[in-house]
Amino acid sequence: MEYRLRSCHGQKVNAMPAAIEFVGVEKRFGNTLALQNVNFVVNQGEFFAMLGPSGSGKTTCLRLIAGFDFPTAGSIKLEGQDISALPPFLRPVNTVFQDYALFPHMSVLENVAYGLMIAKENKASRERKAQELLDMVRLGAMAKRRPSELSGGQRQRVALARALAKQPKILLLDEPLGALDLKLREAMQAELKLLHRELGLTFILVTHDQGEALSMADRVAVFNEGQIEQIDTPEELYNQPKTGFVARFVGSANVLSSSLFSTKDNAIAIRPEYIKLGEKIPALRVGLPVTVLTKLYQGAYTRVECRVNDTTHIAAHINSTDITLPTITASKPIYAYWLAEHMVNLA
Amino acid sequence: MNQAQNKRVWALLLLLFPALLWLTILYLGSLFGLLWQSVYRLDDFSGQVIHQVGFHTILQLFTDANFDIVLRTTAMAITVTIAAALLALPLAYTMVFHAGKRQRAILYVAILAPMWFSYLVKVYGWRVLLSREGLIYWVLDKVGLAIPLDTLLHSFPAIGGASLAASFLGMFLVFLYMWLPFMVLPIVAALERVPQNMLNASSDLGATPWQTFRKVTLPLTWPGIIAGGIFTFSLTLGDYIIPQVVGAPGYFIGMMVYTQQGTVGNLPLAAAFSLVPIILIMLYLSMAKRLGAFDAL
Repeated sequence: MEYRLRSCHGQKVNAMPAAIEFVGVEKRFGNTLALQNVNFVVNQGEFFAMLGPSGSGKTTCLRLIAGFDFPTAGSIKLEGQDISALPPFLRPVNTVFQDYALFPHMSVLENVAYGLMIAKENKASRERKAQELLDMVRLGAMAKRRPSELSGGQRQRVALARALAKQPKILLLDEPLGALDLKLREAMQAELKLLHRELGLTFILVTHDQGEALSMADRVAVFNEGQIEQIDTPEELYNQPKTGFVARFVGSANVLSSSLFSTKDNAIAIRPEYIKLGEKIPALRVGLPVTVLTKLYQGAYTRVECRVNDTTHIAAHINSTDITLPTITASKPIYAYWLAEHMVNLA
Repeated sequence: MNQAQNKRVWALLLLLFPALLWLTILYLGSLFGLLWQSVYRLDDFSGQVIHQVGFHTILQLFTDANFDIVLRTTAMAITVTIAAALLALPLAYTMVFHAGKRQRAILYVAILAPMWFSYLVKVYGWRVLLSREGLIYWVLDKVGLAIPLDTLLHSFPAIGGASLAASFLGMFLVFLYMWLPFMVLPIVAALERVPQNMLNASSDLGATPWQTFRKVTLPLTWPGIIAGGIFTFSLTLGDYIIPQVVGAPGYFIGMMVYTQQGTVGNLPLAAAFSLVPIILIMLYLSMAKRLGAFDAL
């Protein structure tokens, strides 16, 4: 959300400067262009996600915000001030690393208090604050242990507590849930969301898991090959993807040419859950004939892959309790249809 | 144990047998055989070894003359170790964190190349370098530092001597040169194992590069420094050539062991002197453990 006031002359005034602003940022590694003319704004207090496949540039962006690397062109602003050339230890930004990077020669408590110790806070005060943070992430009893004695999920929470100790303006999270199993990941997603709401800080998350980005973020930037394809809220990203890449990366999508079922010829995307299969196309629906290839049971729904022609396949997600599902067998010719309004035109 | 496990144990023993043989008989056995001699003593009149167990010989270590030898050697070993650590740290740090691939390869070769040359050649080479007619003296003379050097050598009995080549300072320089690779390599290995991300994390939390070095890098490097220190410490304690070739008069432990078991035939005393480095190293390691050097392991 952007907060806009009106000044006394009725002009729109931006009351709060953006937490982070990238202006024309470019990053080159030798001959490779990792980031190309990246521009975006992260608002204060927002939970912002940078989503994309490996090598898309999202981690590079995070490193540029943290200060572990510097842009080859363009500038990065924090609350309006140019921080492009500042070293990491001068930025009010803290990071939760993907591999946690906890210090093995210090206890958990000392790890969390590290930032405060560097800031020359006295021992009693910083240990008290560190203990409070550990209690907040429910690891209060582990204060005297070493990181090597903790499980992955516990280490992740220590890394989180350590990054929050200095009350940074912006918290960066580099694929924090990647090493956790599914159940733990889901639990941590909820915890992070709750933490964000309680603390009111700006969170910037990097992930390749679109489910993570959709569930936690207020806004998501989708990266592809060093550029941002779309920045939007999760719902808009899902329902109104602007490009084929976004449609395929965020949720699964079928990208078709509309010439297959109409006289027009442009690229459209249709989500699998909106596609139904049947003996004929009902009225007021758009559809085309397909041949069933495989049925993949996924629990709540069954993914039915169908062949349209030699170059096009589509997938439909049919509810596993649908009574027509048993009649849909491989090699069967059938019709796939959907409502026109569920289609999205792609650029 | 069942059949399969039994077979595995036998297979393992068979594989380890040559190594175990070497370790127990050749190494531990001969070491014990030597050290056991220290409880016997030499009869001054007959020159024969009296095979009677007693602490007479070991107590001889504490006479003024003998104890001086122990102190002298230990002091040299400590100074060489500290100096080697101080020299090796910046070198290793540069090699790991600041050198490009090619530069690092060149540095590795530069440090390891001296080890391809004969020990004696290096020692005698240094003696020539350090002597009055040698290169170092010549350079210092040109720069005008010859007289200060002479004054230094003549006023401090602890480090001085007749000339650089016959002084403790000269000996110290040669020891330092010889053992430096042994200090650099373990430290390089330890530094390479410090993950970049940990240094990033420290910087991220507000630490300047120097603070990161003191609070994160150095503690994680201690095991490497101690390992390097074991080499320099024990090698200096046991060396018997360098003190003879480049050095002021005054025996070192190694020389004592050599002469006592050789010319003098006083094997018990030689054995007693051999005990000293072993005990000192054990003290060194326990002190290091007490100071937390192995915490990061």
